Amino acid sequence: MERFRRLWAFVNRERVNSEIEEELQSHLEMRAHDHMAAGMTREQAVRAARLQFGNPSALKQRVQAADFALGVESFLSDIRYGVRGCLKNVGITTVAVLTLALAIGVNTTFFAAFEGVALKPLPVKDAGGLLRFEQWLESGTTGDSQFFVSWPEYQFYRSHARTVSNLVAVSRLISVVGVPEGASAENGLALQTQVVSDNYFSSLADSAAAGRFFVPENHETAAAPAIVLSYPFWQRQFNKDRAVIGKTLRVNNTVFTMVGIAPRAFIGTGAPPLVPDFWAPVAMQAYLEPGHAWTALPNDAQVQMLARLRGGADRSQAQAELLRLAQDWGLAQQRKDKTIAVTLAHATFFGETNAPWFRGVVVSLMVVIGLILLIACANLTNMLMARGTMRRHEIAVRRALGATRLRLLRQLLTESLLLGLMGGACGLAVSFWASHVVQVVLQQMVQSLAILGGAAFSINLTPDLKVFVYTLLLSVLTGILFGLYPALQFSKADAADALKSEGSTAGQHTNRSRLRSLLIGGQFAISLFLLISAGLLLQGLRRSLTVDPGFETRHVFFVNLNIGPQPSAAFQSRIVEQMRAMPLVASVAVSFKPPGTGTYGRPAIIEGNHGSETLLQGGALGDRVSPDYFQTMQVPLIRGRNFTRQEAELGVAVAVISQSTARRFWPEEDPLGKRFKLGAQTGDGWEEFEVVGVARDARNANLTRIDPVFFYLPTAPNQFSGNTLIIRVKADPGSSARAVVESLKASDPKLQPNLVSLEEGQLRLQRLLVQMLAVFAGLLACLALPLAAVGIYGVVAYLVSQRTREIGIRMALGSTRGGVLSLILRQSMRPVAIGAGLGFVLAVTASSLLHAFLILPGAPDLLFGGSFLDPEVFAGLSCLLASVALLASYIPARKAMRVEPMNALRCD
Amino acid sequence: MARNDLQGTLDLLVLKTLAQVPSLHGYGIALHIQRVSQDILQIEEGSLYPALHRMEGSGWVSSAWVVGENKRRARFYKLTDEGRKQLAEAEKSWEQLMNGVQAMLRFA
Repeated sequence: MERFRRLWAFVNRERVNSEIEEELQSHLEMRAHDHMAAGMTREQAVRAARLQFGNPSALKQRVQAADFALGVESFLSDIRYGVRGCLKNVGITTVAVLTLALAIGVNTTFFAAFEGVALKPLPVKDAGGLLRFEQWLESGTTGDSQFFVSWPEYQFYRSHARTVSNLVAVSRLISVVGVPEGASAENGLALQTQVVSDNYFSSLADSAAAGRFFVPENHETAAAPAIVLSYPFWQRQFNKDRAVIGKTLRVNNTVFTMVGIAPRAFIGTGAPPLVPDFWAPVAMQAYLEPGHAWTALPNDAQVQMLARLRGGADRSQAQAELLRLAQDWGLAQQRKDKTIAVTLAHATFFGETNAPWFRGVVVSLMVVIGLILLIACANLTNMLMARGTMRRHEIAVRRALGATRLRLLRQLLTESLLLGLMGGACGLAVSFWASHVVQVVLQQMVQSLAILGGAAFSINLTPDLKVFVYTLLLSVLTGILFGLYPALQFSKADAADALKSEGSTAGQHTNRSRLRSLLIGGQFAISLFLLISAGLLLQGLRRSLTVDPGFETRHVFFVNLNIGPQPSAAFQSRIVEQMRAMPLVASVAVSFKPPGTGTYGRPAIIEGNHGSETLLQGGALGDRVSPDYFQTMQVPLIRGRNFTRQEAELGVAVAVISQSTARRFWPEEDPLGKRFKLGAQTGDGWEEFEVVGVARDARNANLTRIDPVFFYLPTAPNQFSGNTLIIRVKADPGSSARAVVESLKASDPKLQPNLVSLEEGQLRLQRLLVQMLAVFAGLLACLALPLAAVGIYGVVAYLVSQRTREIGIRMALGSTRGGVLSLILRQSMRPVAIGAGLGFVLAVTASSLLHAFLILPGAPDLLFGGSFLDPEVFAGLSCLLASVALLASYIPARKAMRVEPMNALRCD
Repeated sequence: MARNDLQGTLDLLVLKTLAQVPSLHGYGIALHIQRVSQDILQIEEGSLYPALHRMEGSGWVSSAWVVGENKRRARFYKLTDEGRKQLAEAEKSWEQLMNGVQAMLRFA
């Protein structure tokens, strides 16, 4: 309590001074009172008291000095003492600071990444006040549909909302092909653009880097088409040449004038932060997406909204008003899915930071990374305990000389806080470097993904003030965490006892060594857990590189024709036939959800032989495909037949199922002719299908695992609207794909075809995610293992040094060196074994939990079919950990073997 | 070795006073010492108050403002557990010092 009072006094000197004055004044008055009682007059009494008292202001100063010295000076002396303590043990200090630097560095880097993703506001004008509109639907649908509204809906909000101002709208990324002025049509660039509302730039950016932003005429009519370029595109394509302003870019036969360049920092408002190459007024939307003019469609959700609060309104009022408007709009449009809430969250780089899955991921990562810090703390506690025991004598002497317990506690804590802060400072340096690396790697990874069309991905992970504060808090907390227990223990040390026994001999402080065992056990539990998790994930990674998806990937392309939403059936047929006729194209197919584009699942009932019905747990995954699909994707049919063209066109209730499905539904029976039911597409009923063929197993829903249950239903061969058009080329994929694009363009100049390789697109993304996870887990395990090794080394070394005399006696009494070694190892290995056992159980539990998720047919199997209880991984890594622990304790234990009995007995 | 500085003696007197009378203000402490020592020991205010504040900082005494009989606020001091221990040590040390001095005086 006293500390707090001093601290309080320090910030509130005025009050303390007046208290001192009052105290001295009351003294004077009491004395005067007594004098009066003895018969003096009041004047005499006061005078006498004054005389006796001396100079009151001088006295006041002396009292102040006494107060002040205790506050500040003792604090300074604590720091001096702490620094001296750290310098005296350079070795221990270095190890401690390095350990902390790593552990805090990892945590800070993670926080910086989290901050960059979820907390940092977008780099726009007055970013703090910018809010992103998000609605919550009755059906519980999450994702894009929470953020996007139709253009008429946006206009409705804009004209009715009273609580928000500057409501802006911005579309999704639109893929176009742009031809710069002077370039030939063949040299068109694949570009990404966004259309924006008229107030977009005036609300979000100060001024253009060059040229100007849109003027009202650009928004009102399509007469003078204008675009604003993004800084990265200007840099990449035009080498920051100001002369491009006023020049043109042709998109879909519309000639746009480049009127300005957005500021360098302006990366748009996308979530995720993909920067388009240019922005266009919404009036030009129909020209950028010919055939799909959505600005008049009230139910085509294409834009997301950002707003600021109008003066005087608070966020809850605005949310309530927007909710009311959203519900009015839903009612007017007769929407089935009701909006039940609207939230306005600060606009950050990613939109879904409120989503439960995002929070779940963040929390679990934080826990895992926190474990590393915990290991580091355990190490430091152990070190301090060992050192503290050596310092018992010193502490006892200080104690005997009159230092209070509180004061000792403070000194010891100051020391560990100093260590914590030094570790934090180094950790910050580590994280500056690490977050830069993470940022570069992330940016390159995302940019290499063909499916994103090469849009610049902008993210800023540079640590800022929040990260500094976080690191500071973390350092202080860490310092207290690892320093508190030792400080409490040693400040308690009984002076007489410590002075008597002069360092310790055999068999004492059992509770302290029990704590050390506990810490060591905990460290090894965490290390083994991390090690096994990483091992399993790395196994998965290894498998992912060689995994056979079960279908062709290199020669298969998804074709995006960039045409409107409702092409006629005749037009579609013509295109498909035209592609089929191309000499380079081996086969053309249509699929509803081809691999990597999401999953399509329905509840399923398996019909047995005697009319028995079994509901399939977790439902079944499937796809609607045209008969050419198996040929196109090179998925062989093992038994039975393909759909006929007629079945496909009529949508007859027949199905091809995968081998696994056949085995699972009708083990040891012929699946052909068997029947199963799927939940109806609309309503509550069931549709029945007959199995006509069995296809080889594949990894459709997810590259990580063979689909446990997968059915193929027929769909019309030439109707690709709403589906994906797939082609397989015969020759070299790259050149063939270019040739296909060219010949499609040549046949119809309105087409803007875009081919994405299955291998380079979706599959690459899936592999990348597994790789990232495995590398991350591997890194953590690589951090945890040496930390645990250092921990046990320190403890055993300490143990040996403490028991030198005991060992001497044992040897004098005839114990062999081997006996001594085994004694030391046995004792040091016990906590390791217990901890490792615990870690083993932890890993088995976590792994089994993950495995249990696989009951859901779409759930990814991060191990790529590897066993979740892979004996090689579990046994191998346990052995690795055990040998590291043995080695780490053997080195100091060897010293014990060399003890000369006579020297040991003399040493105290 | 026994501490024999004057500051230590003042501390001992104050601590002992507070052990005999549980709660007292500065003036009361000075009066008590004077009275019990039959006017041999006169405590200077100039040393008393800095000492009290120093002892409070060390956690030997605690203080609280109390409104007295004549409605005047005064700061009352109390011995803490820590202070009690300190007192025991100081007393022991004082005795050692006295024994040492006595032995010197008796040496012939």
